[in-house]
Amino acid sequence: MNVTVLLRVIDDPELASGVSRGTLRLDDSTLVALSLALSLKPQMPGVQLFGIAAGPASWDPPLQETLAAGLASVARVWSSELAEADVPAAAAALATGGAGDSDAIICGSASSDHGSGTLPGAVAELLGLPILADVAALTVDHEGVVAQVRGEGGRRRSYRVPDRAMLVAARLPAPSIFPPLARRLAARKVHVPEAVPASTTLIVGGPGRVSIIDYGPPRPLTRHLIKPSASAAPADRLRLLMSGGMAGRSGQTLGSGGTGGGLGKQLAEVLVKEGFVG
Amino acid sequence: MAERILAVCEGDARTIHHRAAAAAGLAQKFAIESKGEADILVVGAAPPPPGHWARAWRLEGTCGSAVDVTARLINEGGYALVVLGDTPFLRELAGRLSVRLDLPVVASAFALRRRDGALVASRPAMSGARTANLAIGRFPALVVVNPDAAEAPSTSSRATEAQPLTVPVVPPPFTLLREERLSPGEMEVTEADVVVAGGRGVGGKEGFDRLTELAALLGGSVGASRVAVDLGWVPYARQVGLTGKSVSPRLYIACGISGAIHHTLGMRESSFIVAINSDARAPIFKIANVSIVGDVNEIVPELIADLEARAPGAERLAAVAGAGR
Repeated sequence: MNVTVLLRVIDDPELASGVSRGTLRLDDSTLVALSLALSLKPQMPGVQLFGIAAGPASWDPPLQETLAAGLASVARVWSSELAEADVPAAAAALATGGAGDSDAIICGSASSDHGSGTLPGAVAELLGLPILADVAALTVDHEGVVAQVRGEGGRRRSYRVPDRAMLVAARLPAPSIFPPLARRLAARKVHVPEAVPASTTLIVGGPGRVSIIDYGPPRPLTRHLIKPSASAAPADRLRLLMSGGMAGRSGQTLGSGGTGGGLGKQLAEVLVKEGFVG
Repeated sequence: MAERILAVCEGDARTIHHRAAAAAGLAQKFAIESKGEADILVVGAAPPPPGHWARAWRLEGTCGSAVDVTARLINEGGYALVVLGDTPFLRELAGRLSVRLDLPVVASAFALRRRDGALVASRPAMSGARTANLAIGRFPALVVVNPDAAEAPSTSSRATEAQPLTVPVVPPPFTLLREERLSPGEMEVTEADVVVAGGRGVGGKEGFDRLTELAALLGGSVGASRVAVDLGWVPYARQVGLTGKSVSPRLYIACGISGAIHHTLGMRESSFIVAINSDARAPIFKIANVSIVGDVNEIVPELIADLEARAPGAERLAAVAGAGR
């Protein structure tokens, strides 16, 4: 079985003060996808794991780390047009750059597409693959691979993975992957091959479709103001009002929706409003 | 300028998915501001959210089959924009449509407006530190809407009857082998969508029993600060923070946790943080979406009672049965 992981590299300025080579690293969702793929190795002897990324040559050091972690090979697809292109072009580059040769493709929830989360669908459409999202674990039984999917409300579903499929990793904390130093040093000497995207059809339409015109201030944190209990002591009421801050969503002021009930009841109303309670 | 916009939402048998409702809200807002028309397509059996929809459709099927029907609607509708909710199904649909119709995609947008004649979408950038404004240069465009984008349409608006669309029936590509609902004790704190965490303010093991009951009602798991673990109230496997586990759930309820840096480093990636603490100056309030100054042991039982009253009978029984740690 051949499995390809779609890899995304991000710039992390916090790495500048460390011992890493540069400030680039694999993004958290890619690390989750990578750990899912690596979990197959001990369960499935003979599985071949590959990595592919759509990015420039500066991405090579973090990509070489994936070789040390256990991928058999890693490749990049890149051309200057891709820097300005959007999801369909990146998907075409990845699909024709080697991802299409695999039995399964694993990617993070925000892999390789500026975090849009739409790239898996685009790649799957190009390659004619079904998608399974929110995959939290992969196991192997006598019939093949089983994907455990994280559902809402504490539900877990197990699905049989067909011969060819795309699996999108669940949003989980990034795992720590620390290969032995000897393997890391050896991987640094491996050349990461670069391919020019074979499909130019979509890339022609890439630049200018969506372009960043400027940046603005961040969105304010959504806050909810909880009304103090009417029976609370004046000092407690004042402390509560001081701690809660303004309620805001997209600049609109939100009331708590409180009906004069206690704090627990008001909190329940907020949880319902935010969709955490059905 | 009058423009047409299509909202694509997902829902279950009763309601629109909470991560898709914002797409309907943004479509309504855009149609009003541009004096245009908004149509809606609901994937699932839910009725369209209340609002002024010129046309409404619904369909049920896999994403592979839904993409054919949606592509036909887009081609025939003359839309400037197609806005979709931010669910895994709809993100997959957006990706497939972008390739099928060669359309540009903007993801996680929370605002749409005209600026100097150009249609501009705003989305978070640089891990939320800034907002990026993107000019859309080709139409129709696909816009995946951030769940926090806009309020859902007012419930005072009229209800719309959705016309069912015929979708070819195809077997699901993935065979479901089993489904289970994990109790808080069975669920790893790192894999939970909802984490109810306690610290010194919980007061003891009995307090954590109540947190477990709350976690069961919310379908989540129980976490703890280092202090609670050191006091022997919960096992180390539940510890969240620098010397414990890192979590990034959709909802994190911090009960009686002050929010020292070694704890917040392990939970600051949570999407929505509720903090309950008796100390109004507790650092946890600086990163919380909901801040409540009060006694955990009064607020949590009241919250549990309210949630139990809302939960259907079967759900309540299942939650209580699985509440053991």
